[in-house]
Amino acid sequence: MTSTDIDDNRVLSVEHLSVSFGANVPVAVVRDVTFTINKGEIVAIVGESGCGKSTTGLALLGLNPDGKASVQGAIKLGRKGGDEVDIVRLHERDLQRIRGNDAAMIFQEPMSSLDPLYTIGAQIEEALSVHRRLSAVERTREALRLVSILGIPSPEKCLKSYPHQLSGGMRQRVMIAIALSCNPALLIADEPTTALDVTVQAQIIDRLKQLQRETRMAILFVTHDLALVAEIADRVLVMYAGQIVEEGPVADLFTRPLMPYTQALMHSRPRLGDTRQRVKAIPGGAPNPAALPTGCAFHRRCAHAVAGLCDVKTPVLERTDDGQRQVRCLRWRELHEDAQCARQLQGNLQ
Amino acid sequence: MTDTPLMSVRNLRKLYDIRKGVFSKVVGRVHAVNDVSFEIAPGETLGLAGESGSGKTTIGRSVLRLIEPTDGSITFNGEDVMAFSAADLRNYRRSAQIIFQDPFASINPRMKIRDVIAEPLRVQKILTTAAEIDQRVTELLDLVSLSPDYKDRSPLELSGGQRQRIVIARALAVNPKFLVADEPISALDVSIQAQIVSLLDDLKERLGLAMLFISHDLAVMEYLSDRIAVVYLGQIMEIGPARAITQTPKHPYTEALISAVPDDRPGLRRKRIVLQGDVADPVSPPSGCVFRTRCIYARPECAVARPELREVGPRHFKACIRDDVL
Repeated sequence: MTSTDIDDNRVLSVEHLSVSFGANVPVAVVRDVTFTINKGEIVAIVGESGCGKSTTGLALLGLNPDGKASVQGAIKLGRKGGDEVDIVRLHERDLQRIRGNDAAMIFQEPMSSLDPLYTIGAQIEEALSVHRRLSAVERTREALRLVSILGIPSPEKCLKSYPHQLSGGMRQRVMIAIALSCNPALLIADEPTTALDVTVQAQIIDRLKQLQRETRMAILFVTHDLALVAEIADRVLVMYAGQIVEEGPVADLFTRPLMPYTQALMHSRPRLGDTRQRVKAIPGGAPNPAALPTGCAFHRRCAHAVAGLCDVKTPVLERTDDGQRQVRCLRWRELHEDAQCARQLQGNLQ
Repeated sequence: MTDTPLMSVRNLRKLYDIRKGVFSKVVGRVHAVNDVSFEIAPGETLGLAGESGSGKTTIGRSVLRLIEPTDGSITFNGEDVMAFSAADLRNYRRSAQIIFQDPFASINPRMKIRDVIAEPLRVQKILTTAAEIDQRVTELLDLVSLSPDYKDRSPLELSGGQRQRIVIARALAVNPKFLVADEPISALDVSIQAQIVSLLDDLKERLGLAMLFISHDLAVMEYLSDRIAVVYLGQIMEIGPARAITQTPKHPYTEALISAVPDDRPGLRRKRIVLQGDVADPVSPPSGCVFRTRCIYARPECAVARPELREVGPRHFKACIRDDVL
């Protein structure tokens, strides 16, 4: 593909990405994943532990361990200069120029991403010295600016602190500051607020959204929290057993989830203030990627599975008629019609 | 709810000394729990909500005397828990049990499941013959919806959700009347959380279990609790019926906490109140109302005296001097 084929607006285009682990018997944890992210767009990947969401995120920066993971497909990232690279085919040396500079990543536990022996200021300045040509004075000034825009109270004091002196929320802000230090076009955020309290989560999400609006940076948000997705993302990818099982714009997907797995996930959490809803647990656990069920990977836990169909035929990712959504379910059309009938009936009764 | 509470906690305090230097001189004290009072009726679930470091866990462990409170009184079934001897405490654990957050840390991986569940029966000498114990273990596994085949398995073979079921079965082995559940679902996967929430909901109904449910997850708390107490910096800010707390919070902290909970219903988004800064330092908590340093409604008067819990609705109390804002 030449660069002329690429939409100007596109930051990332992932094509048929598969990641497997294990040399003798390779186990695929990410299976044929295709999606794109545009400039200024926030896309969320949701799913349970082991669904492949984090592995997908890591693959985007070539961070899956070499020799242990086998990565197939293409990950096309638009660089700042306008050219495009395929992460899968790059060597470590070239990847280092990309990481932090064109695409940056933040993780769940900021304490394990920060070096306990260096001050916060030194760690932010280190990131700046790798990718940006600045004098020592400029670096210090830039570090101060980054810490300030993330809403850290007394930024000067923060720069002189060591990681253990900061709270979890402050550390995560510092990580975001480091990630943003080189104005990346894409930020990959892997469960960045999962370890934090809701109040701190709200602060960080608000700040992240504000910075995203200002910089038009694209964000790939990896999380298990559907409600958080609804608050932050423009578009959602739902992953199950290494595959995308549903994709669509947030508002549409949450008002009418098409894939039974998405529906089940939504019903498995109580919502604040919704006392009519009973929590419905999804039976069983996520399948072992080394021994996936035949047919649809979700059929053993699915309330709508039909014997002879769902356990036999493997569903493909289908696009809805309006082109807005994708769903991987053999029965989504009939289930969707049933749901519409039920809604209509309820409307008539009221 | 009946009039006589199962558990009554009055003016509970727990201070931790901060020691420094060669002679371990006390240089300060952390106010982990500062003058907390509440009651739990038989069969009632009280939720304890709050951020990390608010003292929720310390309260939960103090009422079982797994942590020795600095002062205050705890009454369980009319008996003074603070005066219990070691033998009394062992008896107390027949009626009051606890489950913890991490099911991987709370089971000895070298024991078989049957021994894990039977241990409290043996320690408490409730059942002695092997046949009786085996029978009871089967019952308990059934109670938490696990098949009897699990008896001879090792904990290492089980997933987090299955382990948490084992932990619950072990806690229920002695037929307790009261259970402290300290973040029982936080370490579990989303779809598994729902299974444990439904199980706890079902068990408290079936066994008439009273529960102190500690969590930072307000949606789950509203779902499982009859009443909720909101804790901030070791003090109760607001306590009342679960729905009243989540629907019509009367304390600014509760309002902020609830507004921060994400919601997946588009268009139903709550007005977000973003709290500034972090929780104040528990070594030297602010004067007056401890929340005033982050409160958007704070006034100079708030620094003067610690607000008492006042009734603002049926069984609904708040510790805030302002009535004009919420």
